[in-house]
Amino acid sequence: MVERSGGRLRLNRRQVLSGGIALAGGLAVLGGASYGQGAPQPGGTLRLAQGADAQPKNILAGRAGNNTWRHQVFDALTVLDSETGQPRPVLATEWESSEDGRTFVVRIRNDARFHTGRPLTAEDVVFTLEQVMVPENASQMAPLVRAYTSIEATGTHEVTITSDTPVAPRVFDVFQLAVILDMDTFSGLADGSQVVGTGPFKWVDWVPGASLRLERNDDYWAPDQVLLDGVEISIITDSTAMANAMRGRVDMVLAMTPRDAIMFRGNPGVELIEGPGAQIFPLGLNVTAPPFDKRELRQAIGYAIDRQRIIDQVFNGVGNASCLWWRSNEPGTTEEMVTHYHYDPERARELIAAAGAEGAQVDLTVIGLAPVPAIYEIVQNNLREVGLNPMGQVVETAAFDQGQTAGDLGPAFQQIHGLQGFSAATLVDALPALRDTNPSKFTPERYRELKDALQSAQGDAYAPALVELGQFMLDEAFSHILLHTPPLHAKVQQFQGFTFNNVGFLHLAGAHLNG
Amino acid sequence: MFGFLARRLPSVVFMLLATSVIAFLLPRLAGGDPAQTIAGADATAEQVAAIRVELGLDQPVYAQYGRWLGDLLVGDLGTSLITSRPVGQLIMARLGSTLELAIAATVLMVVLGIGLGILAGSIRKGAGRAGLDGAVSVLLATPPHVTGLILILVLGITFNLLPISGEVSVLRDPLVGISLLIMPALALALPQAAMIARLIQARMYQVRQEEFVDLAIAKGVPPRRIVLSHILRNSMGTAVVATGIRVGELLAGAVVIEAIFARNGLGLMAVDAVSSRDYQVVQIVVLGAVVIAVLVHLLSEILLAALDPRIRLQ
Repeated sequence: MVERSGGRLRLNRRQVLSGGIALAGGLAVLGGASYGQGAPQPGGTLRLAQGADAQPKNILAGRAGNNTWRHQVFDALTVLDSETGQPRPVLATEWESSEDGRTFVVRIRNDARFHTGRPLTAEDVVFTLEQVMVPENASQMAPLVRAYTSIEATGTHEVTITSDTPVAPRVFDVFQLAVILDMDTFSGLADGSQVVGTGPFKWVDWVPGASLRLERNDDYWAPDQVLLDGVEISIITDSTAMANAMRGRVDMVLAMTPRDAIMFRGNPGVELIEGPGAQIFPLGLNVTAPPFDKRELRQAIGYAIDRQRIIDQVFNGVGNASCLWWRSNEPGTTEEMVTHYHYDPERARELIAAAGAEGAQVDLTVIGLAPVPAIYEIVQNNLREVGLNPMGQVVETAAFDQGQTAGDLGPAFQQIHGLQGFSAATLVDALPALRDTNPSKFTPERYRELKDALQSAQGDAYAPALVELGQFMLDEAFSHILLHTPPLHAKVQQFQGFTFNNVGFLHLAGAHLNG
Repeated sequence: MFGFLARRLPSVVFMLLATSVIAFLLPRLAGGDPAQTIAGADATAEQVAAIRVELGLDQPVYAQYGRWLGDLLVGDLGTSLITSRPVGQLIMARLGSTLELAIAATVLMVVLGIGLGILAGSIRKGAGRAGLDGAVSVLLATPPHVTGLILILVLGITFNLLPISGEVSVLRDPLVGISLLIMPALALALPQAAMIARLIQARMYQVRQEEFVDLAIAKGVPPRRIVLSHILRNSMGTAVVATGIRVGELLAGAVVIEAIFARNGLGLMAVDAVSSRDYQVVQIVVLGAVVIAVLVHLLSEILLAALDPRIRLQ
């Protein structure tokens, strides 16, 4: 029995969009805020620069190198709006959820075709969701999809998902990341020899570590939205060299460092943009390793850190001092939660005294990935100020990641995480700092219960469940978020009409170069 | 000549075999794991383990080495663990960029190095010598990446004379290609050229003290001829040996210069491969670098013999 349902957090209202409305609506709001609204004219090749290489093999996983082209070559069923965080249709035309939320039906467009010419069917959606579960594809959404009891094509353009727990709203996180793959050419993703989707641009040529070229898909299901002739992406690993590419080589540079962005401030030809999605910087504490088995000491560290100083000195003022592990547009998020831990060295000293931990040594393992070591310098200084004895060890990224996967990073550690923009219900099991195998060894039964309650919550029940879980996590202080930093992009004034979705992936449908 | 090469062969083969073992083991001893790189920082242990099996990294190390060496002997350079592309294909895609930079930088290094060296070795007093000595010392002490940044600031940004980012093959568009090559090649060549100049200068001073130079002066040979035919010829051996060694160092410096000028050469590819633990690519790059170093060394010995008849290839 399928009952009317709908948007991500308001599942009591059926959301049905006809093909025409979906087309217009979907493209108009892919990701919410549109950058620039100059009169669009077709033509031109957009030149982008990014620091990370494309990873077609990992298209189902969140990867920085795929953010610029993922939604150009592929389409998702839905994407998350950057302002509201709510799902917007792309290939999906309508979806509905049963009363208990355990059956979810999604219907897809009947006019979409892969770049090979083959029409998109429900079987492709089923195939894609099955690939999400395959460990080798390394998707962060694998645990969610594995929890489904069945994924079936119940029509040529209809897929039904069933589960023992409510499917929505977290299914929209899965849809956001799991762009729809062509089952016939899937094996070509491994080496990038065949990268076939239904998106507005076709994958043409990839020189690993150097460049990627896309060209216009003339058979796109919304042809009016494909204005550019093509896209050329340069991979430039040195951050300053990437920023320098804005001096005539490219039209847009993605994810610059704040230090490099300074050179363009006041330049009328270059526009700086703070995109959605963000990086967060957790400081984790192993609750089983003395002295961090004392909650007062863990809380003290939260009050000891001067987050604004980190923002000012490491990020040139770009960032916000939120204590939370998710974006502040998540329903239920309150200002008290965002600022729960603020710089209060006096209170930190009192809590340290209450824990009997004056002069305690804090052995910190720090990921050797910029800018985390620079953040550590301030953390170290702050901890000394409140009477602790920090001893940091910077570990190379590859070795640090191994420890993170194994859930073993020592008594205290500084991490770096992305995935901002996905729902809190998903993040609590996807972020290494928070999942059940977290390196803080924080696994009380109550934590799992509260996570389950949030993940089962639908509609109005979601916000209070998030508040309860968030306050529990803040109180237990096993993982302190030091700050959120938005991705910084620079573009020429002429480039307009593009959008970012809630997790910061770029959409070029509707983009043009003559603004 | 053939006898000389034949005598060198066993030691070269032994060196390459030893290098292959080192190249194979070194990246594996550095910690980290290509499976972890592919799986990503958020990966679970199950995902990393599945990728390790897919890549064959769960096999014993000696079995992996044996398979790699066997493939290598039949001309198969292997497949990149990260991109799943043949290593040979990846190298060929980057080789042109590195070759262009290496050739341009070597030409500049030789021309500037020998020119400055002869000039510095010929002028023996006054402000000219002080100025040249100072210039050579500054160039010698300035590393390529600093030179590169200064060139970008002055020629690229302040005067906007040359493009500061990117590359176009010289064969495809000579004018644009060369304009994009000038700054990185200069940045690479200047410190090495200064080293060669300093060696030539010192050697010329030394040769000038030899008795045959005094004899030439006593016989009334014109000073210009003394410098060119007697002093310079007897000083060039040093320059040739030094150039051979400097080419290797120049290629090492190319890693940083490629990064600064956003050129996609082999140096940057090697660095990326090391940081992503792409063992297959690292192994071939290390082995290739040793082969090039051996070849350049052999070439230097042959050139030296041609320049100085007293030296024979024995």
